Amino acid sequence: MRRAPSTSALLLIALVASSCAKPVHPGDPISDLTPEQRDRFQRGRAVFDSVFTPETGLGPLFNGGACGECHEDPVAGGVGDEVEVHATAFHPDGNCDPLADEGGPVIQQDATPALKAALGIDKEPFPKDATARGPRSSPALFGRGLLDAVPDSDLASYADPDDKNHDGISGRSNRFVDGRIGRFGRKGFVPTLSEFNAGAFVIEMGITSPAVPTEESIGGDSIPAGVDPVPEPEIDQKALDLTNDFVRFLAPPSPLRQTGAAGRGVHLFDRIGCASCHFPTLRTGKSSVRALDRKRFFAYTDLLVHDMGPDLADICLGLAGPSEFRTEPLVGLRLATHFLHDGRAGTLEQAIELHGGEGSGARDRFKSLSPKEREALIAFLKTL
Amino acid sequence: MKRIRSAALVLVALVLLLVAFHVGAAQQQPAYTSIQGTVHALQPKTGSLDVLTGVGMSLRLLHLTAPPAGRAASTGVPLSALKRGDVVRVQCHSSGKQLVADHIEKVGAR
Repeated sequence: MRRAPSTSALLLIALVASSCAKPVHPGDPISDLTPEQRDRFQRGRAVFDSVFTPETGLGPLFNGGACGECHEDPVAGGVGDEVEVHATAFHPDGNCDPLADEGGPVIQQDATPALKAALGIDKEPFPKDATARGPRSSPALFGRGLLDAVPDSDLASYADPDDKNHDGISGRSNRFVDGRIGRFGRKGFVPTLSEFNAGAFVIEMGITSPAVPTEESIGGDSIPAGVDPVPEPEIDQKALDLTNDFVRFLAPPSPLRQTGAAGRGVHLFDRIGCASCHFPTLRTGKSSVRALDRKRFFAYTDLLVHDMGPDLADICLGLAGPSEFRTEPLVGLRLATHFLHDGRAGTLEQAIELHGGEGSGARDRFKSLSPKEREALIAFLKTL
Repeated sequence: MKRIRSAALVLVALVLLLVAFHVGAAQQQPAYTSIQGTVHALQPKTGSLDVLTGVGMSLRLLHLTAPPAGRAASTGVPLSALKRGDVVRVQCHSSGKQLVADHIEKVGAR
């Protein structure tokens, strides 16, 4: 694993930046957008917050009626308290079956009245061949456009799948079904933000688009006739593009002032090894969008999947085994009330203590800190 | 003069027939497409191939038929040379309700 840039140096950058630039609040767009891009950001937020009904295409299976229903707190694009269900089958030969022929990997938890009347179900049936169930909390989407613009070659350079440097941390990229490097989703499975969004419209709301013009099945079976009368696609490319631009241009909020205990926590974050996976900053590659072009930004992730130990293990996905998860970006962490991929941790201390596998070294060093040092580290995390 | 008019009418009719034939032929041509995904299951003996594709977290399992064992589809790799987990690019066309693989290329192993 290549060393992350020192957090001490980053503190300096942050201090300089915070003294010079206007702070970015949750929900703000990234700076340097053109007037046209800012307009698209605003119009995209309107689509993001649109509430779909069965008459406008919702369902027949869904998890929510709007993007903004699950990504809402404290603003559109923020966190949500919804927990959805994923299911896959992990085979002894190492192959992972996402159970696409049984409705997987996302198992919708709600159904339209028409589907309920037709089949007598109020959610998608859980796949009979699943070997695991993966609850998934709703993350904040801040800074995802910047993560999208980090070159694949950078991710490849961070990976150390065989732990050749013997630091106990390996890390590798997941791969999508077509072989491309993945980075989005808790298993780092999806290659690009626009694909993640197009997929989310149909799996989360049952809204088809030109990118995904067919509905999800009902546990692998066809949709009964008359249950989904709205013709496909249920949104057009324009609405999809606007939504993409809203999410793509959502800025990572500026960290709060890191003075006192939080200032000491910055150094501890680096010293105990958190920064070995939660890289404080990443850099985008060349982009035709000036605001995304070769920008260094706070990320707190390496976009790789790491073995987090058997206690956190649930589903497999792509190349990622049950215990492998993509390093969670920590931007906007202060806005979260539950932590880890399934929201099982109610405090940041619990979240750190639940790190296993490649995270166990940093966890043990955290546990061996003095109470004051632990407080300092937590104070730092609460500034993100 | 009458003969010239008759010949012109025959010519116009022929042109119309030819245009109609071409339009019909174009409508009957199968839609060719290319997919790239992971081999989910295959049976070389029966020429059955299941490929996992998708967009984001919305995944689809496509069922294709391919030439039986021992025969490569066009100049691509035969089914017998593939295994579950391989990433393949498949040129295919739809025939009725079936997808037929015309050319299979192995892109990588997972």
